[in-house]
Amino acid sequence: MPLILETSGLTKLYGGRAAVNQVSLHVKEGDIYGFIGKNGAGKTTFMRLVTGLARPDKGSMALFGGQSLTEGRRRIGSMIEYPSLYPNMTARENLEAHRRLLGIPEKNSVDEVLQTVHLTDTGNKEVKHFSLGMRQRLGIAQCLLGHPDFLILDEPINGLDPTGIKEIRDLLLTLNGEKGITILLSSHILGELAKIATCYGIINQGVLVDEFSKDELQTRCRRCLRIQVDDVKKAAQVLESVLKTDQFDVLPDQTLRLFAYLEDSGKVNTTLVQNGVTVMTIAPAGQDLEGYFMQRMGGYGNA
Amino acid sequence: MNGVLWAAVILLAIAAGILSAFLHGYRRQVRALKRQMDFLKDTDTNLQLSTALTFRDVDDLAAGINEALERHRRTEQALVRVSRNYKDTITSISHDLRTPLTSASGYLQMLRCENTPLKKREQYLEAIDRRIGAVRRLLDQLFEFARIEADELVLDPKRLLVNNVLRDAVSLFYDDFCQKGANPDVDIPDESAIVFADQDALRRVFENILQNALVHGDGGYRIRSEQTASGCRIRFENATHTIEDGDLAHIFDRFYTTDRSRSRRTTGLGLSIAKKLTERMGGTIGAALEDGIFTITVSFPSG
Amino acid sequence: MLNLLHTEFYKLWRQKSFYICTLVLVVFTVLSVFSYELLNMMAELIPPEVAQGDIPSYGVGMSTSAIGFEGDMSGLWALATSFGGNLLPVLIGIVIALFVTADFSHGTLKNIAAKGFSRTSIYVSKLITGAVAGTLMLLLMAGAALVTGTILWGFGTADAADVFTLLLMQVLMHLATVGVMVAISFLLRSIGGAVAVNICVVSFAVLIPQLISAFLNYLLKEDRVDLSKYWLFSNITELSALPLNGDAVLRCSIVAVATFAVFTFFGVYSFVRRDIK
Repeated sequence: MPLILETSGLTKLYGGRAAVNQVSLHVKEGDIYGFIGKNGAGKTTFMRLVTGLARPDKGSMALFGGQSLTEGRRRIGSMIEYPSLYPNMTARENLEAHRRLLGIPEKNSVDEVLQTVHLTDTGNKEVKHFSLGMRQRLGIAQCLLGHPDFLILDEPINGLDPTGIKEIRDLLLTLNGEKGITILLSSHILGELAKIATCYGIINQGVLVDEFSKDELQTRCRRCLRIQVDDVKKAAQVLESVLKTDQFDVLPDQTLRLFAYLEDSGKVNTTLVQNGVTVMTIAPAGQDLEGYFMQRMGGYGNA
Repeated sequence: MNGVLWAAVILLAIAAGILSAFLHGYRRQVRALKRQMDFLKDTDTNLQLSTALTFRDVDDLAAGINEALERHRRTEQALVRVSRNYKDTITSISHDLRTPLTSASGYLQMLRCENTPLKKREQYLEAIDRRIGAVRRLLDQLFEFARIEADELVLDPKRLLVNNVLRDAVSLFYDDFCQKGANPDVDIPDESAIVFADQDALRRVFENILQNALVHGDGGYRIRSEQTASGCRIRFENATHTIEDGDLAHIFDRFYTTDRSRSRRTTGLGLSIAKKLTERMGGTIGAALEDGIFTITVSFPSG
Repeated sequence: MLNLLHTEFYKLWRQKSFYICTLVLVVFTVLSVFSYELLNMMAELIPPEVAQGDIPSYGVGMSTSAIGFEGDMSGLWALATSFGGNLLPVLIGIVIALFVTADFSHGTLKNIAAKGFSRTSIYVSKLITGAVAGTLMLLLMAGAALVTGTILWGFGTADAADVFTLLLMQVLMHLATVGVMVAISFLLRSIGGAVAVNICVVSFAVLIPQLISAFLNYLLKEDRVDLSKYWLFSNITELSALPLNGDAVLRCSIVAVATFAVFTFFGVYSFVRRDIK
């Protein structure tokens, strides 16, 4: 699967502090990549580096499998921090200015793209009178004008109401499904991200803590029996030989996660004890997405 | 005199300069277009041609080429979609054939067993009969589809009372609808429009639509038939939570099904057959989705 | 680059401040020309002895030489004199400051930079657009002065080459002005700051070379150092009377080109180095 974006050790320093620290990120073709991190974790700075608004201090990046960065950026539509629009011009004028910049020959392309985001009847209203939701949609329309292959969106649903969020979500899914547009988007709202992301990247204090696909996430957050024992090795052995299961993994501080016998914790408990393992606690567990992310975003120390 | 001569020379020089700049611009634009085409025709991208000058004829040419590019891409995407659907369906069909046959085989085994009581034997024979019936129905549908696709199906149109055929079809499914939930709301007037159509094909159209509604719908069934100025219109409504806006465009595609988990074993051919037959008989068929209510509308001209 | 120009011009024609400033410029120029006529009429009432002395100037766009009534007032004379005040550079400075800093303050520079256009070409496109805007404003002002003066006093006579050279020189010097304004706007990036500095540069910054000259004069115990001869905005005022002095033309050309080059160089350099917010 070709990589639309691949960075390698990308670093950006602001006065000695690394806003983006050795980030090696991978976005595959057709992904909807959910970029997660706290405020100031480095998401926006990273996006600036990719789009060429800021220059990296160290590391490198490859777009579309090695195409020249200048040409590659032509295929990217981006909205960083907030929609960049001229407040004194109307929606149409903003898009016409952008259309001329991109050299798009079709005169009706502005109308087409306004229709896609449902902003066709703003008439002569200047952008400064637009609501936040309308501005977000116009910003996305601007991204779409150039027929992008890759969308980079920085908190696109920020400040939208539920209807607006659903509209954007549907739009992004359609773009991804029908036009094959790869999307990299950052958001605070994990629930929304979880609805459409196909893979995730967690960034914390400039460092890419983890990167995994949606399926992998399901695996990591699976429902299980969380068993705290005195002797993990012995307990593992008992599970394998007596309970005949290998569906478990071992965590630090003497804890096992068992993915079988979920309804039968009593039996598991008894078996372990009968075989000489002291069970401190045994309880059903399983993180939801939010729990997992909080744990990962919190930093290295919090397990 | 001298001054005028100088002025004329200067003016001429400026004119020549402007003309050559024009020409040079044109040539550069053409070369730029060629460079872009080289990239576009070999790369899988959404990008289109862009121009730098505002010569109307160049823009129109570029726009025309872009349209051709777009059409080509859409065809490719459709191809990918159809082939993906086709593969899924073949897998599902072979599963659908294997299951009843395996089951029938199992019953056969039990029949061979000597100490099976007579009553049970009857039951087993009936079970085998049903399984074979299911296989036959599936194969019938496949063959019928193949013949329709190859335009081999011979229609024998007659003047029919459309509501009679509709009533027959509905009665076949009435009990099944009732089992699914509330009784279906059937509104078929006694006076019927007359259409010029093949009776079997017409019934098949209605049956496929009703079968589809039965399998995928969530209750809330309504069937309405009404006469229009040009002929008749029949509406089939049901509640649904499996269909989304994005599916509407593909609902009549071959092998298309929203049934991702393949739990209900449909071929995705039912509606496709209905559409083909309807159109062969001179009618139109369409689907709509509003507020969770899915509607299929079939119209025929008067015969 | 052509695409950049295309979009920049589209934005320029939609910038309300451009039309307002041009209107202000034209109205003021017309009024100034009229005010000379008023003075003319007043002068007829003043006894000759008083007329020899220094009469304070009334309003913008007048220089004391005009009150001396040397030579005849005419359309061409009005044309030349209109360059005498500092109104044109100031208004050009305002238009350019707004035009350039708009992209910074609205964040729309991101749209351009993220599409792969080089910093240099962005800068140059603003320069070219600014140059066209400035030249248009100049021609409109000059035309307004010419027309008003001609209506009042007749077209006037002067050496065609001289008039042509004057116009050419003024265009050159105002192109240099555009260069200065664009550079300052790119450096400061904020609307208020750029407008303020642009105005100050035109109106007051001449003090700097004057001070330096005075200082050098003091050091060298001389009287002849006058660095303000090499200050662009003083030059503009200098070349606002016909006939032109040949040496002055040469000096002013060099100053214009040099000023343009220096400011543009620093403007581009600083822009290329910095990140875009």
